[in-house]
Amino acid sequence: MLNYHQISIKLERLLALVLVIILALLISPLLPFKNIIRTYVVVSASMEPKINTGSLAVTIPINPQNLRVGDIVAFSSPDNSKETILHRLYQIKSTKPLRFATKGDNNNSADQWDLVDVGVKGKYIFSIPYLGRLIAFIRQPLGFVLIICLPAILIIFLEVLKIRKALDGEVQRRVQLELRRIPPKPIAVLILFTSIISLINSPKIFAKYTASATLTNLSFSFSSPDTTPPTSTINLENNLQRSRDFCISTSASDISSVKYIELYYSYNQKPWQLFPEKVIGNQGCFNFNSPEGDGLYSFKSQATDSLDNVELVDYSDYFSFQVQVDTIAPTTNLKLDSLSNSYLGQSYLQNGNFNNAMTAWVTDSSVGDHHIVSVGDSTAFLLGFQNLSLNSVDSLYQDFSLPNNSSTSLSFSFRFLSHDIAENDTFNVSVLDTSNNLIKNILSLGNTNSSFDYDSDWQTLNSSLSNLGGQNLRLYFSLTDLGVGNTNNSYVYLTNIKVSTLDPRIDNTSLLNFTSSDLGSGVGSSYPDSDNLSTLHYGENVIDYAAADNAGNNEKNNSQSFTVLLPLVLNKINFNNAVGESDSVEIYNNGTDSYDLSSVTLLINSSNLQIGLSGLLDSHSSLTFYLPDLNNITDKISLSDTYNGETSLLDTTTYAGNNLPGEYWYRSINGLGPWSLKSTLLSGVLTRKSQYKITLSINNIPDFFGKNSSDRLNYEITYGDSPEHQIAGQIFPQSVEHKLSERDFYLGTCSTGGICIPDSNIGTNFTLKLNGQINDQDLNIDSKTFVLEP
Amino acid sequence: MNKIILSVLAIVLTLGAVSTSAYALFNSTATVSGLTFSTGNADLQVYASNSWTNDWNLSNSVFKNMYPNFTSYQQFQLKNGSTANITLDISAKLMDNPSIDQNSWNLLKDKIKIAFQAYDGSSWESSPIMTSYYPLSLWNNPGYSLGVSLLPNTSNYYRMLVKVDDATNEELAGKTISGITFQFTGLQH
Repeated sequence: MLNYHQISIKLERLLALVLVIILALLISPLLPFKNIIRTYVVVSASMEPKINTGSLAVTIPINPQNLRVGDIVAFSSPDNSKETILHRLYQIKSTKPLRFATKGDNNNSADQWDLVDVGVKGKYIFSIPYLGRLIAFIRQPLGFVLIICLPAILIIFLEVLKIRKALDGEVQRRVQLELRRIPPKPIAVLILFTSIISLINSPKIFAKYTASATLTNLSFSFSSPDTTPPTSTINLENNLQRSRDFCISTSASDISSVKYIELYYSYNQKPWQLFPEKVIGNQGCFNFNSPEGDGLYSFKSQATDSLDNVELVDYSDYFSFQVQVDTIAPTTNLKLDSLSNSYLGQSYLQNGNFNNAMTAWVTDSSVGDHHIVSVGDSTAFLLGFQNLSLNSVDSLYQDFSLPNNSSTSLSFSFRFLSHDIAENDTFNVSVLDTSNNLIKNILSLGNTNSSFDYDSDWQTLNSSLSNLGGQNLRLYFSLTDLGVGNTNNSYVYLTNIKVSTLDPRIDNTSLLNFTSSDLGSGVGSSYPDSDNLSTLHYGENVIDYAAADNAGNNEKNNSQSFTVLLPLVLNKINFNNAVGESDSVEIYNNGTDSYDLSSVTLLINSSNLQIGLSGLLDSHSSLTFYLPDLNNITDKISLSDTYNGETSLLDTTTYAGNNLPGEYWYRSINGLGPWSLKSTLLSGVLTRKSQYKITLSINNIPDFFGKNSSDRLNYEITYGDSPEHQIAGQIFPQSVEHKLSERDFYLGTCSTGGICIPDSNIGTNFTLKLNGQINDQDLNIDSKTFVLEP
Repeated sequence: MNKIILSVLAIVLTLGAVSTSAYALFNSTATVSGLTFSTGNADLQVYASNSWTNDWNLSNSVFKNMYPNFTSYQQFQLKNGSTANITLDISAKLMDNPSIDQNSWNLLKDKIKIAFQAYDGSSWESSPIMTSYYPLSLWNNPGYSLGVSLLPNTSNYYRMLVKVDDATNEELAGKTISGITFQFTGLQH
């Protein structure tokens, strides 16, 4: 029968033995005999339920040749050599070299890699559940304190107590007994803590998860050999382009694939040319740049597939895909046309019909067949190469000048005959300056027919030369012949060449005629329309006109001013207040024909005076009617015409003068402009006495001027530029003798001491302005400008 | 006296063990650092027929009428459906299929090239192509990593890009290989 001490000793020894075994197991990774046994902390669950997460797995080394399918092995991860994986052998894929497929028991697919023999670290033997989690806990600070530090402190504390007791030396006999029991304790402590250290250092091992998903039943099939060419088409969004750069969309299809699409173009139906830009793939855009300039372009696309099958193209079709490129705005000309008043334009060119041989015209070319020819009953000029094609230019020009602010137009008739293509032979009309610098292109015309036998027939071209006023210009006609082949000649007939301005003298029956032309896409719209022309009224009419072509090019607005004059106008009314002098009314005929006054009546409202006129008043002539003395009148005067029983008012005005002697109610002779009050009684004259002296003379000052003490005459003389000089003063008629006032003025500044400094920039223009007061009323007198020679 | 010596020895050993343990725990060069345990299952899913599954059967319906310079793609969606809190690194592999017509396979295996593109969330034009264009023969064994990872319970779009060599000769016309299976494997990161 064992007593307590014996049992205690045996238990302690047994504990020591167990701890030694555990130690042997656990410290194996650190000890030289780790080749015998290794431990790992299992951190993932792909081997569950066989090996749970958190277990401590124990492995032993093994020769890979001895492994069998179903064995669980630890191996270095083929993806990451720093990781160790614990999976089951799933398949032996080859024996030489030895390769395994592995798989986690808990995974739905095998691992992606092949495990080779050198990666095998050991064969799994058994695992201790939860021990790995205890290790993980120890690795945390709290776990370390609870599991390591606290027991250590307790042991140290107990041992200190024992040392203290031993030092007391009170129980020598018990010392001998205790000595037999002591040895296991240091050993146990040593084993315990060393084991814990070893446990802490156990490496982790992954029972790695893998999962898989599949795309199954994929197929790849190749089509039959493609011998069919692709087909392509063009998408033209607009058949008219007003920019030379535009996109031509294209697309193509093919049973295999389209490698590229090419573009062919024909300019004015001439031979097809390959556009250098390709569209790669089955769709895209050709950035077409109209290499031939404005004109009619036809297009064809041609696609090539990936097997170099080339689309067949019908090059005889010019019309399916056509674009008119037109970047030039139309021109609009305004003609004045009236049954009663024909257009009286002033021509600035001479001999436009060549009736006077070559008068005013110049041909500066020694080649060409130019000469004057008869065309029907008229004459014309033949320019160019009628008999033989030459590589040269034949030309004709005339210089002319345009007045400022003129609305000018060019018109001419021509007939162009060409036996060559437009890029070789062209008829050009332009306006140059006299140094032959281009001012404006009028026309550039070539053979636009597909044949080599082109006849434009007679055409008349009108072109506005507005905005060229005030310049010396040269109208230049030329025919360029490239001389390709003797019979590829071209020439043109010219006649009826006019450069003229519009005559603004129109009446309200005048008709305005607008003619717009565009050599490209044609005129699309223009303004004003004919209905607007009925709005012409008496006075100034500003007519804006322009056109737009079908491609959308807008002509710059032209503006022409017309003044429609009243046929018969009042222009001067003299209600002279001086006793014994007659009152009068003056009328003026604005028309180009005589005016029959027998139907005209003059009405003075306040006097209810109605005067019937008679006789003929010549064109652009005036007539003064003398009336009874109508003193102190403020009245409305009207002029009317009665024709077929209907009376129409011609002109009317309300006299607004002061009824002063010498005053008259006046406006410009043709009836334009506002009425104003003038005086004929007083007038001044400036004369020059010397370089720095002028004299103001006022003669025939009437007697009644000065009867009132407030009567005075103000004068103001202005002369010179930069700075403008001025002399001003007053004349009091009471001090004037013999109805004459003369004053000399020194043109300079004189100081008090008598030193005078002459003005500079005196010039020759002196403006005299007179006004004043008579009978306490303002007196209005004209201002005049005198040109005084130095 | 011996008892005193043994007790002192026990104290020294205890202190030494604790110190060594602390060194093993806190030294950054220790062979083992932080342990994290994963539990649950791993699952990689593909979207097919309005649901997530582990297999999308394409019924041999894709990539028809191919020709030299042919390019196309098959779009698909993968999802990390794992119950375990793990990130999956995705790789792809063409599975062996003994029933494939070997004559056609031998003709086409190096002509048809496959790459994979991963959607970047904004546009396919900006999305990176994750692998080179490898011929079918190289996808067969061992396959390639797609270089993408799927976080737990996330999904993303991918495209299998297909192109055919320009220099492919006409002997391929009319040839078909079908029953091809691509396996996408998610390996715990």
